[in-house]
Amino acid sequence: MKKTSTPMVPAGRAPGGEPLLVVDDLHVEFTTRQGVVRAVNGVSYSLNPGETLAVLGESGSGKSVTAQAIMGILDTPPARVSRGEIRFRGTDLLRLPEEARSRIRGRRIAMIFQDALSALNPVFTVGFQIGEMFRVHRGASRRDAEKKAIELMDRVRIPGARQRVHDYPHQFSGGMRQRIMIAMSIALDPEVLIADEPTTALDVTVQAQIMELLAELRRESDMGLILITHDLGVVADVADRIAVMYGGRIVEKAPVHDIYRTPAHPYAKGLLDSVPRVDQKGQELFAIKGMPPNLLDMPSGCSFHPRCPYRQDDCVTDAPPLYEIGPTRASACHYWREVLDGSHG
Amino acid sequence: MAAMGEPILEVRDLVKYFPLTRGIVVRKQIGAIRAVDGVSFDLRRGETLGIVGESGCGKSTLAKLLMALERPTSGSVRINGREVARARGGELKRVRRNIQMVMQDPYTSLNPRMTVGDIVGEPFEIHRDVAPKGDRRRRVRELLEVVGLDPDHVNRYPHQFSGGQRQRIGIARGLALRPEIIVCDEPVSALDVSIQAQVVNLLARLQDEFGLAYVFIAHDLSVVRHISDRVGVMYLGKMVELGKETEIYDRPTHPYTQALLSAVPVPNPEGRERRERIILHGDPPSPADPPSGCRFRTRCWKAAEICAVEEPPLRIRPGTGHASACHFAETRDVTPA
Amino acid sequence: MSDTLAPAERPQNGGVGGHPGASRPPKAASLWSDAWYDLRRRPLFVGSAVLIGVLVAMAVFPSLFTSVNPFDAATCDLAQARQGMSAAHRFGTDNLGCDVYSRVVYGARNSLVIGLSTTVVTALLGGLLGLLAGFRGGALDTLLSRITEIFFAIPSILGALLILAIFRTGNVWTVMLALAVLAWPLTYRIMRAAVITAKGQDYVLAARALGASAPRIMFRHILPNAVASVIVVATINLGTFIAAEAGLSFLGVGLRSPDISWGLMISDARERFLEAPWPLLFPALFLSLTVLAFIMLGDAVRDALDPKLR
Repeated sequence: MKKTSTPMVPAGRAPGGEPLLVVDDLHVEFTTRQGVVRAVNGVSYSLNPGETLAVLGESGSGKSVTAQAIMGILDTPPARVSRGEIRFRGTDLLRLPEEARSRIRGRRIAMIFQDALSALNPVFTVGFQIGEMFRVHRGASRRDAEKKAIELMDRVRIPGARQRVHDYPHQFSGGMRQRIMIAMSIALDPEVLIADEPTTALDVTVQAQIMELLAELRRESDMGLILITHDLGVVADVADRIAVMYGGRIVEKAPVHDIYRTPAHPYAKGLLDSVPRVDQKGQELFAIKGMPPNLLDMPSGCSFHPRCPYRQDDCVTDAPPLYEIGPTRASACHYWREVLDGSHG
Repeated sequence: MAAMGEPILEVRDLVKYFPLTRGIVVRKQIGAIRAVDGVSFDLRRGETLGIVGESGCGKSTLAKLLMALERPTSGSVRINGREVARARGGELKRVRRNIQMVMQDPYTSLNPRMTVGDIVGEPFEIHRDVAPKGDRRRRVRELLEVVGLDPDHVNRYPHQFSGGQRQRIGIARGLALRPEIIVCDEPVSALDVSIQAQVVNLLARLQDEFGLAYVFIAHDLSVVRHISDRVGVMYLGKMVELGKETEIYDRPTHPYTQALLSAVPVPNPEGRERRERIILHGDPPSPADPPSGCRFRTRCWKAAEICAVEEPPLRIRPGTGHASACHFAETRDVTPA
Repeated sequence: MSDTLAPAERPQNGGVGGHPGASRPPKAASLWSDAWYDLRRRPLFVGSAVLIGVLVAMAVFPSLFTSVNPFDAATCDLAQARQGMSAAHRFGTDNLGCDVYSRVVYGARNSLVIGLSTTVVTALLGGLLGLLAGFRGGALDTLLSRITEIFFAIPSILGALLILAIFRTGNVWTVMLALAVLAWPLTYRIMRAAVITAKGQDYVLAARALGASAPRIMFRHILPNAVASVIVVATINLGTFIAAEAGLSFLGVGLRSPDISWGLMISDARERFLEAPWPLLFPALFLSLTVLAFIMLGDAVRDALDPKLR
């Protein structure tokens, strides 16, 4: 039994201006039977080394699609990146030939998924699957690869790595499988790790273990972490900065403390207000009214306007740009000042 | 909260083992999954009992036992003094009028080939004496209105609704027979964050309106705290702590409860560097082969020799006001204010 | 990947307002009434129904389509054997100088009766047993599944030969029986698998929690969700049965002259196909049209029974 406090590392700046990863005005469309769906509609964010950026949003917000575009694992068609750039250390990944891109994928930008069981191949041992990273990308021999696999399993704190390296995925618990996934993703020391709802399928106590592991790994290697989640608690625990997505756009960007203290977009504020609090016991919870938007039939103007308590006439007609509302903050709301005031009050 | 009345649901020493068998032609039992292993509690009229615990703790099996969807290996479930666990046929059907459920996944819990009117009206088809035939349509429309849906949508199919709306359809179906108890098995965990609060509010409103008692099973501890009067914590088929909501959340005495509460991420980054967190090591043991004595001892920092030998019963411990199943129960505040 | 867009389904959620429901039947809708309403508006269904209507009319009232009675030996003229298409013989003549067109028309009856009745018997027998086995499980399931495995082990031609040998006569009904006995296990398997999938769904649990009876759960909840794959297999099988009848005739255990069926005609015309293709091509064409019509019908019905595809 060990007691720890959540580790914190100040965000490091990339040397020389350009951050590690920049998503710039990204647009992704899906062609469906019912029409063209704009799943990602002008998303921009950046990530520095050693930093944790949380991308917060619910289903259909475009947060996973953006991540898949960065990884280059979108199914095309039906998906299509129609505009924008994804710059990794200054190079636009979208313009790279597939061969060059696949050298970056998994090696320098890695990803872990929510469902570790289906992401692992059931007919190979975990040692083989972790070692495969070294055999394929580094041309390591079978024996070296296995040694590396054991090292990595130790690093993600799987007890008895030496004995378990020959076990199959189904012989591990959910938390241990997620650790195996993480071991595979960090095998080649990536500079960016994208974690797509890494703990959603896990129990609370296991979730805490995994989040702690990710924080430790990030500290050890100065890797940038993009954490995609819908869980306000997880974000508050580990993120340095947050991008809140709604209907395929970023609606608010801020350092973590600012957004929880004074949200500047009505959607972010609504989400935070709807968290049950002890002093509200027995009262009605604050609830954002209405439903998430239908991507095929997005509302005009600001896509949040049908659900927004701050709505004015121009919200229905004019889509708000992402206003810079401070040196490190941005909000896509015409009335961000009112929202901020409401947050203070 | 509604006034607490007499117990409407009494659960005593409830046990459910699922046999593990080997062989195809000749089946041989080689063991058993002890999904629920001696759980007892009462639920009073108009009350909400929250049940929390991690996957594999037996909370979903408990829900099925309460609903008589599974037969218990032993023990009893009584609703208004009437035994459910051994009821059959017409007797069982009568019992079901008093206890209904709301399920987790609104996408699989509604028959995709039935209209909303048929889904919500099915309880009346099955229990024909509840509503005269000519009245059923009106009742269905009424129910849809009660849960906040447009009654004109009776002829639509589930796929034409969003997740939150589907969950409302499921709730309307559960309400149709006017049960006194509703078992909610993770009713909001499959919904979008912005929709969860809507459904929690709806459940709270319906409780006031119809005097419902809820067994509210969930893994989201903050939602359980918000809606529950009392809370039970389960671990590996056992109830390890049971008490009023404030007792469990502010003065937990069982180490597992303490670890669980401290592990929950708090949606507030202030002071996160200093937050004390109990990180449990390892995974819960298999319910097919639980540890001797106290089931939590393999992961517990307080474990002593007695824990391996003697199983701690769930009872009120000295110095605390509520029941805990730990030999070394002591109060400790683990949740930040 | 919670918000990975599944293009086919996601955008429909929340799209409640936009459903073209205005023209729907005003009274209480049900799966079947909605399906029927929907079917009548599907060109695929209307087209296949018209085609099937014509074929059935041909089978029931062949004299409406031709004035020649091919059962009358006097209508054949050996001297006119293997002629091409002409005004007198629209589809030409066969090896014995008989009119191919009138034989195709008269052959429709036997072919359709064999195809349809075998399909219906197979679907009902395999479907019902599959429903029962999948729903009840346990000993009944084990027993039925072992029995179907025995049938799968018998080569179908051999099995049909055996069954027809027992009956000693090859007529429409014994051929139907021989085919159905060998074909039902496949339908059984498909139905059983679909039922087991449907049975595990939460809505079945919800129905049980309401106190629904076993027949209600089987016929109202499980069957509508399991029947689609059986419909598809049944319509594909229909063509196979009509063709299989030809195979049996060729082996001398199916229908025999002077009976007429498309299968018989195809098998009779095979040897001289190169010099006279008509006697084979026309019955084959009608066979294909029939199969196509039923497959289209099956597709349309399956889609209409799935509210998501309407």
